[in-house]
Amino acid sequence: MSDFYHKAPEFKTIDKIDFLPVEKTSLDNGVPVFTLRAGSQDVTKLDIQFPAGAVQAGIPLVASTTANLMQEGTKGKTSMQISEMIDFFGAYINSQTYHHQTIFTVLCLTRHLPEMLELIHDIITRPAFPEHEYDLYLKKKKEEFIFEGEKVKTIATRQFGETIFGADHPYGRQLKEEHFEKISLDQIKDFHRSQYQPEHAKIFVAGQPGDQLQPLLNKYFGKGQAVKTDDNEMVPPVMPASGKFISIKKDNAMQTALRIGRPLFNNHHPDFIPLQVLNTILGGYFGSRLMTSVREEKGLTYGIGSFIMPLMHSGVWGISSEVAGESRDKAIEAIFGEFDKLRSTPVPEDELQMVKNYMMGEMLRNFDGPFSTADIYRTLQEYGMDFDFYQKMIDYIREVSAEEIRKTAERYLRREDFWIVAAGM
Amino acid sequence: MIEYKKHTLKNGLRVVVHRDRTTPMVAVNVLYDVGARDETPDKTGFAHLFEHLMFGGTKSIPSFDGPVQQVGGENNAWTSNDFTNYYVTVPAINVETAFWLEADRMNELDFSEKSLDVQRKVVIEEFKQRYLNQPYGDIPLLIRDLAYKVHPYRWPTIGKDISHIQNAALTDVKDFFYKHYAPNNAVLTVAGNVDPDHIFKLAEKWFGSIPRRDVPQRDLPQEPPQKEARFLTVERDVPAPYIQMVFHNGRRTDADFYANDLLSDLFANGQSARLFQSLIKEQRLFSDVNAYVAGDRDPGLFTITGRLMPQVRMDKAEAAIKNELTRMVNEGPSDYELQKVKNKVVSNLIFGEIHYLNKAMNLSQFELLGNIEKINQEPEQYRAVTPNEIISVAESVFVPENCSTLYYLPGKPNTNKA
Repeated sequence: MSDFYHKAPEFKTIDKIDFLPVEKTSLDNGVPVFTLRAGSQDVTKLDIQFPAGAVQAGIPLVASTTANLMQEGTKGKTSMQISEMIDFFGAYINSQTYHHQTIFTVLCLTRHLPEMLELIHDIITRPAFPEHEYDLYLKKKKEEFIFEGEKVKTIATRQFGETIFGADHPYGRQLKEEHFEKISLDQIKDFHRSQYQPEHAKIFVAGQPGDQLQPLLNKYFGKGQAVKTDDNEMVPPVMPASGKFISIKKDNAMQTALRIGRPLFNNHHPDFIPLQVLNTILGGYFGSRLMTSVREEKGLTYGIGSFIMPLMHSGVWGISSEVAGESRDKAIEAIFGEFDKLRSTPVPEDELQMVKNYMMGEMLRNFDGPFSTADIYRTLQEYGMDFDFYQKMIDYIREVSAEEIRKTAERYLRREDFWIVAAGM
Repeated sequence: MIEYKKHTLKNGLRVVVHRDRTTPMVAVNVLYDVGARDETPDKTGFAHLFEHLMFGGTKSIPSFDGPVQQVGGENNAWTSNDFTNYYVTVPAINVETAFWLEADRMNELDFSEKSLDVQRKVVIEEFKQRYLNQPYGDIPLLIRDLAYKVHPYRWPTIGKDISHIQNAALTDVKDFFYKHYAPNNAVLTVAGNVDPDHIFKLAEKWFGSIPRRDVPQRDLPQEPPQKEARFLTVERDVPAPYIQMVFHNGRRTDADFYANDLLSDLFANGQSARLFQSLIKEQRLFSDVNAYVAGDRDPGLFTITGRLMPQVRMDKAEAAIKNELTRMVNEGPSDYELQKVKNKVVSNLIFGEIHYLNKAMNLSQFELLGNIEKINQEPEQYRAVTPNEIISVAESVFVPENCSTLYYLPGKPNTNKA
């Protein structure tokens, strides 16, 4: 009976991804609009991007506070009226602040686009910044900051940023309790005035926005002269910490949060794609070397993974895990042990084939549907790239040999190049 | 509206197919009718530990994850008090690989000491990571134990105590498998770019020969009505006081579930909801509040939570919550307010129909709850709720004797006060 299950069914490898077409148009004033039309539901997601990130703000907290407070009252509507309207239409409006931009996202049923566009335009162009909303927001935010700081993983993540980039570097600078006293409402208003001109927007639309999209967008975001913005703020070279091992003790911790990593480069570097493959093998999927060794063989953790994060002027390669506190050193040794194996021995053919197939399936998954495709496209645009980047990755994945991967590992997985941050026991 | 086709195999396995032509992918979802409520009080956390072991391989297929990744897929699982759910998402052209893998592990597992030993450790780390080494992390353990005295909902899926996981033996594991893992105790749902007839053939081919198993009739002790208000105060190393109030309400399948759900939305779904506006923005007593219903298969809980702002006294915070409950009981929602939360629910149901995996999980659950057709009646059920029904649910649920209250205070770690 059970012989029946010995033989696996045949399967096909994915060798091609169909990228959804991107409609590129401009509004009357030249504001670029990128639209991905697809999906079975009459739903629209709109991302409106402004050059209003943490780097432009210079001081932690200013950029995100500005974006969040814009939704807490405009010249015509109170905070309460704004939330009533969003909820009544069953929509979502929120903002996300990154290093170099802030993105306002609207998700709604397409038939409510006219109302939601009017509202988001009001939020972006006529925020009132009421004093009492500012006070309340900062108080809540501070509580949240303190609460998050109780978690070993947050302690480790904050320290990791400072360690890899430098405590005074725009990418490494961390929010501290004292910043809550340092910032002022005037700074917030100034930041809004300089960074949120509607004509500085870039707009990304995904879903089934219907045929009234362009006139609607023109009505709200197509006026005023689009000015070429200078996105290239000066970002100095990274200044990693001098010590390679930083340990922070937290009383009563049962686990230790580990962050191990090194500064890297972004996706323009020729080795960025090779490193994607190496990273997947190391810790980028469930069957990775790190998961197999640290979780499935040794049982030291519930989860471990590695990630590559590109940044406009830098990048980072990191490993992240919460491990049994008493096994911290054992876990670190196991992680570096996997580095050594990848440097010395080519990945066996069957593992390599599996990783290639997995990565292709993962790509198919990431490019499935308009929403996630639009997110990927927006990120590519930041770096002045388009889907060609992923076509190159597909070609590389198909061709790369185990020996090439070993050589990449030899260059990039030297334990002396990595910083270790541990928080907990 | 989710279209589907349904067929039951001779061995009792129910098969549901939903065709979604907009994706190149497919989700193969297997929902087993077993959860933490099927555990005995001295062996808790077992359904979840077992979920981990389902990835430990079989005699025919030593690694489950390998073949999934080999065909470009991904897989995972979750356990709740009512269900254990497994899913594989693969490119639609490789759907048969998922059938092969799921059928093989439903047929028989390779129970090994090694696999059990490792997964015990992994689950213990999960226990620490999610519940013990997390500010406020042990609340699910405390509140369930306070609200339930008899029903197995009194422990969370991770288990009542780490020692239960440590002591799990291989024989327990084997018994658990043959008791609950059977074609006649599961729903297989396939959602994605597939032809339903082809899927029914694959189901017959791979699952058809698995024998029907003797699944014992479930006979759980039902929780008697709570007759007195219950309180528990604990001190922990946390930055701010926290309050959680839970009230017994009903089942997911009860007619008044929809009124219960909307009632919780009136309190806490969206920034305009009552608790956010009143308790956070106007009175500034809390930094965070929430309200939700469990929607369990046996009578569950209506939960209200709040994290206090510094310098706010617990009695004042609690009184403010109670005041909101009383106001709802006395006045109910306005027509506008009720319409607002209905709109939100209905548009969330539409957003939820975007992703094939989400649809697969929901179809499975509705089938297991007894009537899959209800999945498409949800919008109507919500729309039909009246302000008076909200009031009557609020009246019956928000009774002081029906309430268990947890005060979670900053202080010395790990001391419990009665």
